[in-house]
Amino acid sequence: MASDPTKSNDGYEVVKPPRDLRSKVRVMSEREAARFDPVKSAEAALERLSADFDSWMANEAATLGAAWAEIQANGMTEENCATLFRAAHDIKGQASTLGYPLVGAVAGSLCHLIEHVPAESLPAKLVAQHVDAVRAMVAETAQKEENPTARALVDRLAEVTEDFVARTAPPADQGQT
Amino acid sequence: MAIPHLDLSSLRVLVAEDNPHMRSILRMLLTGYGIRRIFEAEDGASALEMIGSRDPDLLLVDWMMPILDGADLTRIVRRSPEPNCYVPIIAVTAHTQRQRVIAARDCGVTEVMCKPVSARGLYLRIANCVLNQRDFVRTKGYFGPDRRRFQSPTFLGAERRGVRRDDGYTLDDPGEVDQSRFETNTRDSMIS
Repeated sequence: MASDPTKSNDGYEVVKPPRDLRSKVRVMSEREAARFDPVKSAEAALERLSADFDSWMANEAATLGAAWAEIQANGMTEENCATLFRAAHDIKGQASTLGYPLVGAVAGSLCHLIEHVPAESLPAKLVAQHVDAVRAMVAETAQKEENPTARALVDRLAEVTEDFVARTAPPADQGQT
Repeated sequence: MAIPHLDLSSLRVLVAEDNPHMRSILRMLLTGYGIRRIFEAEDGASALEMIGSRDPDLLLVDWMMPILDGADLTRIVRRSPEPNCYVPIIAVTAHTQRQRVIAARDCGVTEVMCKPVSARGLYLRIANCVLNQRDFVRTKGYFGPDRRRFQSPTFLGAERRGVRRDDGYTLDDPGEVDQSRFETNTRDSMIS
């Protein structure tokens, strides 16, 4: 189906998408809306799924640990560094949804480190501390933000990482937080 | 702001996400909204194939996938023949830096959903894609949804993006869902 440009001048063209998605949905009546709230329904569905979250988080932590073990065994390569980053990035993105916000913060700090420090300069000890922190917090289910020990660990790791990045990363990268 | 309660049961949604846990979360949220036809792809290449065979109305695309990532997938979709090139794309990403979000938008995504994903945040973005469907813009270097969420009466020309970065785009909120626009524009086309 062709779409007619609605305007074409000055080197640009505005095109109306041929499929009007509004034709595929409808606003519920008040009566229907009283019976079904899509957001609350989705939250309830997620809640039902949450029984699996601890084991999912344990899997993600194990994946991160395996990625780090591979680097320790065979040295850092572009490929295994990318695998480590992907594992940390997955945790960063999911941890809060899975009920582990502090673990997500640690993973975010590790992503920040890997993104801004060249692979050959990555500090093994600091990377290991991040990986160990994730595994320990998941194993101990010390995921809640009010856990003072976990909170202190997260803050300290972030502080040390920020300091390391500031000293090591190329100047152009340092502002990308 | 009251969120419109929408019957989304006729929508066809394709989820491209390599992480099985995240895929389950997205599927569960979509199911919770009442969407029945949900297709899943484990990588960008499979997603491309499914766009052709499943004819989705909406894509949820993880930005970091192996082989063909979200940016590659979005660029390929926007270069594909009609009508697939117009499919709304919601990028789901753990990258929260503003410049990353802007880069995703400049690839041609319709909405950006920064993780962690919330039921409300994803619903608002889907509602925005459906109710406030944006026109597409073709310039020399871009084809995708009109990135101008706000009019700039003082700008004249084709490439405002190359001139001005501060266009009011917010990372955490896709903008209010303008239900009145839906009500006034779609009475004739609504499924009753």
